[in-house]
Amino acid sequence: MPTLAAIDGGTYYHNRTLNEAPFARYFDERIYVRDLPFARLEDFDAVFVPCRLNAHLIAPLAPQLIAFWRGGGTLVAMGETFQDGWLPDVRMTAVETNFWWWLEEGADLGVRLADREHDLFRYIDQGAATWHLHGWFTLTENQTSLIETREGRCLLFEDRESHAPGRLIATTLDPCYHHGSHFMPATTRFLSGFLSWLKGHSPGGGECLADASDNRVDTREARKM
Amino acid sequence: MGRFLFLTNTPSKPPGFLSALRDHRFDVAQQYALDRAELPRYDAVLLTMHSDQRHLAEQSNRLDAYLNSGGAIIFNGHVAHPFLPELTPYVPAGQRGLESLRIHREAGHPLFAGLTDDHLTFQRGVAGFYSRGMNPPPAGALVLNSLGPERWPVDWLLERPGGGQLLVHAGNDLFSFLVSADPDGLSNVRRFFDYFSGGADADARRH
Repeated sequence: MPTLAAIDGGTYYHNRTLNEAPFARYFDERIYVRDLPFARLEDFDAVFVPCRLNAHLIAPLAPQLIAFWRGGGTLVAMGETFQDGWLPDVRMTAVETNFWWWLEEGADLGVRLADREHDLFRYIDQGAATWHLHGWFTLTENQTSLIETREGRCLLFEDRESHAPGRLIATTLDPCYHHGSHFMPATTRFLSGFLSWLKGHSPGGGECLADASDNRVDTREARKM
Repeated sequence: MGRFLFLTNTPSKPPGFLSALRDHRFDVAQQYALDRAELPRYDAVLLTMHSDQRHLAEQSNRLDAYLNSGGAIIFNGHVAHPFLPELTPYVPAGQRGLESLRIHREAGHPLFAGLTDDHLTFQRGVAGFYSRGMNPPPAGALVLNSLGPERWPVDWLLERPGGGQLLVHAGNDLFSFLVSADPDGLSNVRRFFDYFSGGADADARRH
């Protein structure tokens, strides 16, 4: 089973995502971001950079993360880490987030699975990737879109080519922040599937989601009558 | 005029009111500048929901001494790593529909003057954004706003016996709610920071 280390930025949502049930058990090690220069990333198969880790902090540490990827590791960079500022060949366009798209009956945010045959989608479905958008990537030929908008703009890609067997996975989706804030149940489902996939668990995640039952704030039930 | 230190931990632009509110001076800095900030010059230190609380815990002694010298700390977010003796970890509330997400004004306090339960409860008609749990208050804290039928204390203010004030909001940054609840966008935040700068409402806090 692949070993997974996470960078911990010390925020409450990093703490809930990385250190508390139900997802703590997916992480073999948590490295406080300010201790990263002293960490041996090569001891792990994958390194997880959680949502909203301050890009100002990551930028000077990027050579270490990129060296890990080039050395054969799987580098995972989650949403709102502004990857275009610290990863090579990542081009990102920010969008103004519409937090209210779902107020209209039958509304569709437009998130689509780009390649339904990909192994990741044995673990997560379209609904688990749908909450809101922060931006999209313009891809290079080595980057394969896995999740995108209905217009074909990439929200999550995988690069297995540039530094094979190293792998880069980057997304503009920010599930750690929302799960960590006890808000938006889709984000908990996303992390359950995504982390199970990274760790090579079998698909399902039912046990994990049962543990997360306190996280089920459904804003659709929270509207003024 | 008050002087405040706004410590951010994102690369994003700070909220617009910091520059628009010309009655007060806000120094904006990345959080790690706290280590060398001259805290006594500030009426209050503002900590956002994105704070690195492990770092704040490392700076606990400095923050504690700043409060003891009469300073104020305004904390937003969920306590994960208690960085002051009065703080204990966040507890999420159970979610059982709209009433469990309703915010109630508790104390008639100048910090929230003019704001109603609905101002704090609803954003575009949807509840649940302001707070969904509590950072349990210490003995002696004044509960300002509460959540749900069990009236969980989501906002509280502690006047420390030895001096200093600690305001704790268990949710996304409070200031955005103060701005959005306000027709001109600045009256609520002006009143809020007047309070901490010993402005027009300062008498109320001295009881």
